[in-house]
Amino acid sequence: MMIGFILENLIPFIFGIILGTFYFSSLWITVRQLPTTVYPVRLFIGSFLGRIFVTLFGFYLIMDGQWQRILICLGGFILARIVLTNVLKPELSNSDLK
Amino acid sequence: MDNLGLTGIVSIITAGLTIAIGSVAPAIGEGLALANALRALAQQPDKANTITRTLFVGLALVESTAIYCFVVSMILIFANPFWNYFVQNAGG
Repeated sequence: MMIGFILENLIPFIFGIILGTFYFSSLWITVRQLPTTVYPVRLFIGSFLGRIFVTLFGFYLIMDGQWQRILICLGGFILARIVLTNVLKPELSNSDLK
Repeated sequence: MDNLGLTGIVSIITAGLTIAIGSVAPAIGEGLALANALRALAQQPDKANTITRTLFVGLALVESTAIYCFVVSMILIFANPFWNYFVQNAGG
């Protein structure tokens, strides 16, 4: 009973982490390419549409008609965001602040 | 008009308003952030690493507000918590 409950809620959470990792790592790849690309606007809009389509479709599939599952999935998504933004945070040195 | 129809109408209108407001506001913020970051990159190309990292953290914060609004409107349309309550009440 307890194990079934945990498993049922763990699966949307893990899929949320996977979706968040995909979303924010592709955002990171896009942002890193911005200084070198010839068409920044085209790159950014194309990346945004592709990312948001995959993520929202994944959310829709995971939800499966139950609103609790999408909230758990959103929790995993936010966890992935917190981890990735902490990993990729800029280390400000004194020369950057001048 | 019965309660079930009213619930449906209010849910759909609210979902539309949520995603409309919740996509326009992050779009404006993201456009401003991106424009300013590109301007900073043009002025200081040697600081590109710091600028892109800061831009990423900012964009991640801005874009997730749009995702929150999307989740709320998706719950309202596809998995409305109040829908089953009103269906049970209408069925008797």
